[in-house]
Amino acid sequence: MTAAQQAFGTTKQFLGLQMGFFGLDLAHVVMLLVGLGFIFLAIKKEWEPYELLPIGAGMILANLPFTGLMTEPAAGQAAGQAGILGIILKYGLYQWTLLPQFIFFGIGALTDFSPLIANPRAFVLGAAAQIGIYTSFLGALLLGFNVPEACSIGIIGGADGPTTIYTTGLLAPDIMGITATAAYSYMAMVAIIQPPIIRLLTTRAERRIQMKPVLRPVSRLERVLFPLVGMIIIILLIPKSAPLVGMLFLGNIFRESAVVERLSKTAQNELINIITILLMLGIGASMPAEKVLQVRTLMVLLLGLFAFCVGTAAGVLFGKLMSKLSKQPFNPMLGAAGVSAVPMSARIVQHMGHRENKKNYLLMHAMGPNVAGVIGSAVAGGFFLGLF
Amino acid sequence: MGGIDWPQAWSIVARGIGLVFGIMILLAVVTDLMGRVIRRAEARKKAEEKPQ
Repeated sequence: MTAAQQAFGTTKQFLGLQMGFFGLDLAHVVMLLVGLGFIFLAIKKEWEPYELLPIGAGMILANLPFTGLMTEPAAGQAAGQAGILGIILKYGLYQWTLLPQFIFFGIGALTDFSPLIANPRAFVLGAAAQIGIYTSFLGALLLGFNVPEACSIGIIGGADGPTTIYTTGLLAPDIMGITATAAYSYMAMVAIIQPPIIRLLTTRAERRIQMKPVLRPVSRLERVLFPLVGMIIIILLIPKSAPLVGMLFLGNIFRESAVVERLSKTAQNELINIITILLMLGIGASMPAEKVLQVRTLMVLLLGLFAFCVGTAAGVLFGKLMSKLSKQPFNPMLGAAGVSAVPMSARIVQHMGHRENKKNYLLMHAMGPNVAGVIGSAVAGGFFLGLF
Repeated sequence: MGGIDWPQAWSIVARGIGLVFGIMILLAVVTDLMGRVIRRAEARKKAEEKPQ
């Protein structure tokens, strides 16, 4: 057998070459169409294009046969054997999980925690919206998933892409592509999913509640101390949350210190853009046909949606409770922003509030629970990781 | 379904929700206290600077 035959195996050849057409089956074709669909949605509908376009491209590349792109690096391997997608998957997502942690660093550098510092009650709403994670965890167990998979599916309810990727990459890497895609897709569909739930659980009078137009000013010292104190408290209580919470608050310290502007700007722009390309390509590549085209995939997507809906509902119900207990006017819709789809959820609350009452400006109030949700879902992810 | 350890599952849920709420409430209290202390210190500093 020649070296070429050894390399190509015994599959059919054309003009002396092993062509992808010979390895293409129906499952690959379906995945190629799904990848093309993602790219269509990104370009034509502009649905989360920064995520869906590279995910779609990664999905297509991962499902084209005989490319070698998915070959993971291994000890003793000849030079050039590992493929770029295999390298991204192994070091970025499964083994070293570098990418979601660096995304959190960038998110920290981009996030202004002032609305949360000015109104710390918003922390409670950020916690309430995590209830969806745990109800979906139970649902996943009921449908036959094991505990690590149930944890990974539940975390979709936090509507936090990097936390979902990090948790799933470590606990259930086989379903990571699906959970990550579900998390980002539901974040993109916040405007469709959340308003009916909010309307169902609130009265028009509640949605019209007008809040103080501005929050109190937050000093620079508070903004610098907040990530330091928050990071130390959370990591001391849940050490396994350190890779996410630590990187989130580290990025925020860079931002708020105002003495490393170049580094902060890099984290907010170039770094997060590069990491987004690698991360999204990796997510797309983690969906080869044999892993995705199963009934389980549909169950994961439905359970993720359920988690997201329950999280929104729990946030709104806690918002109603706070509205009843608060001496100041408090709009219960703010609870829906407790899921960490930043800033989409906050914008939905602002839009709905303003539509009911033209004098209502809820955006800054809603940003508090919204950024609290980012912390809450990272804490929930750290808790799940601590179980194993 | 018989393979699921439901007491353990409910324990995970209860501990998880308890922990998330516990930590978030703790952070809320610490953030509120920190804000009060800093604002009081800044107000005092401002008051001391005024007579000069």
